[in-house]
Amino acid sequence: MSLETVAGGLIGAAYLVPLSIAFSIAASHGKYLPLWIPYTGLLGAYLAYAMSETRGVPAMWALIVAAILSAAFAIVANYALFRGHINRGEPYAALLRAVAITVFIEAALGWATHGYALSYRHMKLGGSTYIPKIGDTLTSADLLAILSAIILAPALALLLRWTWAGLAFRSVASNRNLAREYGLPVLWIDTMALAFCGSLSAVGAIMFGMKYDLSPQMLAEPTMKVAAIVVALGAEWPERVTAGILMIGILEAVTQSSPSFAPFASAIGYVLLILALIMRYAVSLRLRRLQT
Amino acid sequence: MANSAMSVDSSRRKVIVRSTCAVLMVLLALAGCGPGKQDGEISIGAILPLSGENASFGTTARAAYRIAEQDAIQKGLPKIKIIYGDSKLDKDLALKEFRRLVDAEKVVGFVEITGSGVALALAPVAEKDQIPILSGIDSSPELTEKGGPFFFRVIPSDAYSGKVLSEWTVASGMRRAALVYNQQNGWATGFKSAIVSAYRARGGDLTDDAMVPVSDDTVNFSGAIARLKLSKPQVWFVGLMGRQAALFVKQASEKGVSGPFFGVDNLAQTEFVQGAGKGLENTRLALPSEAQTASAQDFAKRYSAAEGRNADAIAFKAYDAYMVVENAIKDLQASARPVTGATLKDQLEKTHLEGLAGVIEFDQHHDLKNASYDRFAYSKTGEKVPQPKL
Repeated sequence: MSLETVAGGLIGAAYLVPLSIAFSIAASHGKYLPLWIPYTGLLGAYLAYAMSETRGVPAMWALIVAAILSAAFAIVANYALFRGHINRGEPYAALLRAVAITVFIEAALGWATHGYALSYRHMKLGGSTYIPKIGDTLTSADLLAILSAIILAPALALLLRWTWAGLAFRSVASNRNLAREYGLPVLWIDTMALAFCGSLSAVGAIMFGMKYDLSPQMLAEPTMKVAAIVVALGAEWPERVTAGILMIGILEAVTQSSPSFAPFASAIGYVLLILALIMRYAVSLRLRRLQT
Repeated sequence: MANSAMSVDSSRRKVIVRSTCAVLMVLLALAGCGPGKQDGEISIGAILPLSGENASFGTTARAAYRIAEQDAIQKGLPKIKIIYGDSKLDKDLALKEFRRLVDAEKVVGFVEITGSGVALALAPVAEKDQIPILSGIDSSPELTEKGGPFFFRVIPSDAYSGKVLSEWTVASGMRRAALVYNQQNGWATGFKSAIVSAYRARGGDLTDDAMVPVSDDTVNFSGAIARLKLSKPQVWFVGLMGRQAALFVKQASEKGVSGPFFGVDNLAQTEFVQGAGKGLENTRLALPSEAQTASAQDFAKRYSAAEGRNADAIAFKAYDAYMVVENAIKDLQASARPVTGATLKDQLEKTHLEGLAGVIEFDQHHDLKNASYDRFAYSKTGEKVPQPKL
């Protein structure tokens, strides 16, 4: 296991942090697996591509517009398609709709691009430097991804636990009817949460597209991985989800670096997550026994 | 009370039955609205990935068929109706589409079944049904033996390209190699086998430790690249396609690897050229020779005008495959023989046609008799630069 391998895995996984956080917030809020949330970002990423690469809109403006429109899409989709299921506590029905949205977005983008992968040219962040110790070139986008991994999750954890907004969000996520009876503005909190998830997904998908190019299916595998981490570690803990995604990134890179084990690189993360889930279950069972 | 409940139930049932009938009638009416087969038209199938991760293969071929159709009409060749099936490059989906096209659409042959792995899976079924398959993209060496008597291809086997790449690299003094390949892709595993046997046979050093398999969904190659760097290769063979190949070469370049990266038509795809970044200049590829005839240049010009991008090897081969089928059907009709799968297969065996990429004739395994390759590097602007012959 070389430093180069670990660094490569870590940097690659850091690109998934914004998407993971957006996913865990939406999952915690709606109490289901919101597979469609990263796809709002995917729409934003393609929109940013259309604006910056074909219309010549400056990159920053393209990013802002994409984030705003993704947020708007997330709010509208949540209101029109998921609110009823969330209110009634129907996670499977919501999941079914989420799957339908992802399939539709993939198909629509595939149709619009004839299935060709696209590369950002104007939206690239300038500046890069080769670091011999890690045997890799660190780009500005890499730095941004690493910074977001370091800052975003702890900041969000603090926000959720120590501010009124965080308390209100947790109350609504925990029991919507009770929160409404206590006079909390549930619809407003829904809107703000989904706006945050939509815009963060757009930023995450654009960053991911900068690193790995744009393709309609590019978020299918990462979304499943994030969903597995959220199931194993708990949606209400974004910092744990972030740590999980980084750990799995490193583990996959290490597995990939061994020719004998490389075929199992994608599977190893899931095995680990199943173990985490079993451990979580065992701990909760023990706690329950102690209580009784 | 019970009576009223029963009458509500019965009226509900009536509504459901009537609604179902109405929906069925609309669907039947819509089914009848599609472009029907005209008199004398012969149905030919094409099972391509038209959606999903590999859709660009399918859309490229389909665009080439459209141009070929226009040319066929101009030349007064028989009317062919291509019926498409979307495989997403998945064997099970392809088999389902194969059955639909053969049983319901009554196709007498296939102008393409994309994907060596898919073709290997369908070849026994095609043999049983006596339906010939022609391909312009399936280059796995395994198809030579396992393709069966009903499989033909207008692209040389990778057994040839493996030899060409090995000769090229060994003659250039690059005797230690590394290889990355997609273990879930039939073409890539065939490419790996071809390179390993040809490179080692020429004295090249390609150890098992210097070969790393990845999967369909791999986009971060950092672990694989770090591993391969340890073997200090003088040449990197790339058994990945499209976006994956581009990401691998780009990431390797960012990790200080100057290549050179060697491949075949997988490194000529538009997605590779657009996504390989700085690694593009260190890429070398061997491609089936493209004729510099007026017809080849005319095709390239028309393709570019219609699609907004340059025609790649897939487009040229798709055009050739279409024309081979057209000419076989024309010859069958000229000799007043019925056009069935079996007669089409017999006629395809007699093919002698001047294609865009040279004369097309099949050997006893239905591989191309004359396979010639050109060698290319890339310029900074992404143009293919011919390399001197060995």
